[in-house]
Amino acid sequence: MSEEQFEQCIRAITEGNRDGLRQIYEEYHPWLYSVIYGVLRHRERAEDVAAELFLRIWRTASQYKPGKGHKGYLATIARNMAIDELRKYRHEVYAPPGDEGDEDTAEFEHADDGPGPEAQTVQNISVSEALSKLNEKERDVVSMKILSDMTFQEISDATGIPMGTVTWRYQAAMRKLKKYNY
Amino acid sequence: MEMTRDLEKEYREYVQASAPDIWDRIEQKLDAEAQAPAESRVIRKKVFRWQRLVLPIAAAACVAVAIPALFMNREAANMTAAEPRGSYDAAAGDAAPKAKQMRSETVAECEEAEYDAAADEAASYKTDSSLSFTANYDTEVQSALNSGAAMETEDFRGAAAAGSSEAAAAESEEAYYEEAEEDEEACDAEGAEPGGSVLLISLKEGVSSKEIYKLAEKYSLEVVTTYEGYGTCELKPTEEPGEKELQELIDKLAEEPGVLSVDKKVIECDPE
Repeated sequence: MSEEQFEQCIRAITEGNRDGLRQIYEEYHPWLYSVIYGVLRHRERAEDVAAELFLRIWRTASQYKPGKGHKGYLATIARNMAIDELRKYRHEVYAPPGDEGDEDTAEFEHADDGPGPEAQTVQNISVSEALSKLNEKERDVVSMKILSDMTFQEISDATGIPMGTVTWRYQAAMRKLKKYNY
Repeated sequence: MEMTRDLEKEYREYVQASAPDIWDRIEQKLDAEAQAPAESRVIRKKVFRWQRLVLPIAAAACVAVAIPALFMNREAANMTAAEPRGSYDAAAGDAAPKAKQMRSETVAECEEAEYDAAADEAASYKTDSSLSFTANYDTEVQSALNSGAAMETEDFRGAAAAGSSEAAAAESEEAYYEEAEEDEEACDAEGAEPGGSVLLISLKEGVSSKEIYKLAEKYSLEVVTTYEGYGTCELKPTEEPGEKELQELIDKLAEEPGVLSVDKKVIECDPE
């Protein structure tokens, strides 16, 4: 979705039109959910936060300032909301990434189209396992680069991390993933 | 450099398949908000909160009291300076060597206690399996041993009795290191930034390795490594510069036509 399209959606939202929010949801929900889940590592809470995220977009649409990159805007909101949620439940222990006993990994729904359940599960687990070898910061950069097609500069602007560090983390992630034939 | 198609495609499919559809939930909440009665909506009136002025008023009052008191003290000090001081000087002269001796004894005791306490703290890591090696370990222990100010912290109060502290420290040092995995970069034992004065430079598209080497030559830098596909490289001064010289170098490099950004390299260690 381009900046102009996103701004059109925001204008529709400010006029009370839910189609604008729906378009943003269709385009970005999988990516934003993965960002939130990557922080919380808890399916139900990630769903709650993701739902609240879109409600917040709906309520604060009039405050959106165009021209600064909507992907970074969404990523920042998603991450901050996930971190706030994490702080509330900090005393609970979350399963570490890559844990074979992580039931959330096994319970992911499968797409209706495509390979059968077993092949899909094997395929997803291999990608999931590979991604679980990355640390949180590397996963963030990779997800922003791949899922939302952000440039390194946009990632740097959105996260406040120097661009050299962003590229460094991306390279480190690629080196790790190469060992899994990616 | 473009991401390999396989990972990009698989990652997108994985995320698409794993994200639950929560649109219905969002719509329900939107409906609930839309139907909320008008009376329940809070109308905020702008109210001047005088409580916000309490702090500035208190600060002004403190200043108003403190400044005259300072002036009065100065005047009193000037008046007492004229009094004879012979007796005070003699007592101070006798006390000075004694105080010096007591200070040195105290410092020696403190240093011994610090060393014991630091060794005991390091030994405690041996039994705590949740801790793992960090690059800060050596610098933290060393600074604790060297710093006199460590005595003021609670961690160093009540130092344990002397024992085989050196052996305990060495044993705990061995246990404190975790075996690094092959695919993990081991952290340098010297500190959190083993890169030192290595600079991470992001380059504009189209900059070749030849141009990188020219740039390095221009600023008397050593090429540590290049990642042409990702448009970055690492350069390092041949002689270790001071902080100010390093910052000047960073500023000059950032102005070069082919350079997007310049940062000091930081290698992050994952605390497991």
